[in-house]
Amino acid sequence: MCQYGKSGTSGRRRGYRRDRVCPSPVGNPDTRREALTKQRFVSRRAQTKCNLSIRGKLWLTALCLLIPSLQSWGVLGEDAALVAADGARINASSRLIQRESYTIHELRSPSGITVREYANASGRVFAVAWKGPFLPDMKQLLGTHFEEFQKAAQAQNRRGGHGPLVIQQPGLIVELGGHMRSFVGRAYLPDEMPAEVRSGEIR
Amino acid sequence: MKPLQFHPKGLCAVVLLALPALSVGCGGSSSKQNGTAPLASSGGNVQPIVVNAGPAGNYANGVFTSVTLCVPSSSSCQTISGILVDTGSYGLRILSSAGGGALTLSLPQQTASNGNPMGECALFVSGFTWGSVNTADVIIAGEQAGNVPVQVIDPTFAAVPSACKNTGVPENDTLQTLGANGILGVGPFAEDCGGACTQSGTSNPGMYYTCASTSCQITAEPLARQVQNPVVLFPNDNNGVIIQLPAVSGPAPSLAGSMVFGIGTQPNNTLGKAEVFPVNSSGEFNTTFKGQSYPAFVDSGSNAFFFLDSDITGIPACGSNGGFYCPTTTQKLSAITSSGNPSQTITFSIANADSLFANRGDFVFDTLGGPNAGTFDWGLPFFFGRNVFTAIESRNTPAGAGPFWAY
Repeated sequence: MCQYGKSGTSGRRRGYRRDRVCPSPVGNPDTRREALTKQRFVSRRAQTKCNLSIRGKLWLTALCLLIPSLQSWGVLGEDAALVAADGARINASSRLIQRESYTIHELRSPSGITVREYANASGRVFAVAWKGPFLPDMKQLLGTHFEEFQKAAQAQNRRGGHGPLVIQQPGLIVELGGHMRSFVGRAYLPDEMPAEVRSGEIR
Repeated sequence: MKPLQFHPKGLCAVVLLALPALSVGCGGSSSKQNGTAPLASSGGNVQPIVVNAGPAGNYANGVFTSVTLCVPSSSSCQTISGILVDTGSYGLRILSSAGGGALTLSLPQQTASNGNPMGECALFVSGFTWGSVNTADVIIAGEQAGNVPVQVIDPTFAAVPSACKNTGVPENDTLQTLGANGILGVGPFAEDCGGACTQSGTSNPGMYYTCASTSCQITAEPLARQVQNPVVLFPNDNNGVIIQLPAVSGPAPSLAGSMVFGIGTQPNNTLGKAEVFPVNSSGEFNTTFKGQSYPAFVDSGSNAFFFLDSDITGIPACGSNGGFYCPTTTQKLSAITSSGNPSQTITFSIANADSLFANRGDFVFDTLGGPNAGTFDWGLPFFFGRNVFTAIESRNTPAGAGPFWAY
């Protein structure tokens, strides 16, 4: 319902507050159209309102801050604006946290899983982190990297025992820890991390 | 006896041993191990446990025991050994013969309100177990729990649901992947899921399923029907467990100890001077390392000290044994476990896992460690030389209600 605008479609990182309600008119129209098509949960009525007036925008902003949005987990390695598409399935509430060189999109599912997706200046998700009583849908969260994670997890050698998963592939790091009823983990693409970001910030 | 290298006041201890008259001034150690007094090795509430290679023959730092299961209210029973004792999970899971396990007893299946059998995808960090929910009388030592919902791990029970597969973690439904004939979850909670699984719709995380012949659907499961920590269903001694394992110094083939049921319910399970650390709703407390605080938990089912990462610890990960630390020389470390006011310094050492594993006959490793980003997992080596009390949520003890750990 209240899709936050992303720099990937707006081309304006600092303008995210204004972009919270309405996709910016700036940017590549084709990309925007594709994004909007995939954002099934963005109501056309809301879009219309966005085009109406500043007052309307303010009201809708207030509304969107109050009502949990229908958003999904982001997908590692994809555009933050595009990957929100599958959100109709997961009734997650969300918030946005702006950092110097990236944006954190934090989503919380009704079953209590918090997912944070880290998008760089061009809107691409270079890391995801999760925490909660269960695991999120890792296939959705890791996207094209899921199978690589799955294979590496199966190959993990604990000399017969059990413990946290630490996957270190050339272009993919996945770490999963915790215990039954409390899981925590993160996945990131080291080659796509903004240079100034340390892995410790992904959590 | 605790190895001296684990003890920051080791020098003091040496002095104490050599010159008892100089003992003044050696008190006040924050690293005292209050729970190390010997417990009774026998009694109706004492069950033998052993750290060894386990039924798959290759388990490093796995602590195992035996459990007797019976068809409820019958004399049709089977005793199964090689069950992993796990304070990091909740509920009893038994590997079926279809999965290569020892279970041959046919236990009645739990059925859902629609009459279909109940299935479960139980989530662990290193994998999931899939199978049916069944009912059994469970006998351990002299304790008996009736009509306990247990999981029968069975890869052939029904097709694994996509929500379970999509966790991406390995399916641990065979003897080789599980490393045990089952898991006895005796952690600080009563059920393996809790309130979330009693919900319908998107709030339900997808652990319990009703399974028709072809496919399974997520379903709500009331608390009392969820797979239970069997301890809470004992008539007595039902507020927690104590895991007691002696200290070791260096790798060993096996190590024998005891699991004692109840906390402060018998002369042999008193808290004594053990310090009590309440745990939060996630089953965790805190650990401070190099001045920084991290979430932490105590887990006999984790097979090493798993903590933080190489950047923070300065200890390199192994090449061939990925997931373990491989320092060039053994590292002596300390960290402070705390839960509000109570705190206790834990000293421990991390050795090179490649070197530890060089002797294939050893399965007990007091200095085995590995990375675990942002978290402290006090795994099985933590239990060596400590009596670790695990009190279950809402159950009363002389030190107040659980959940807590004490040591």
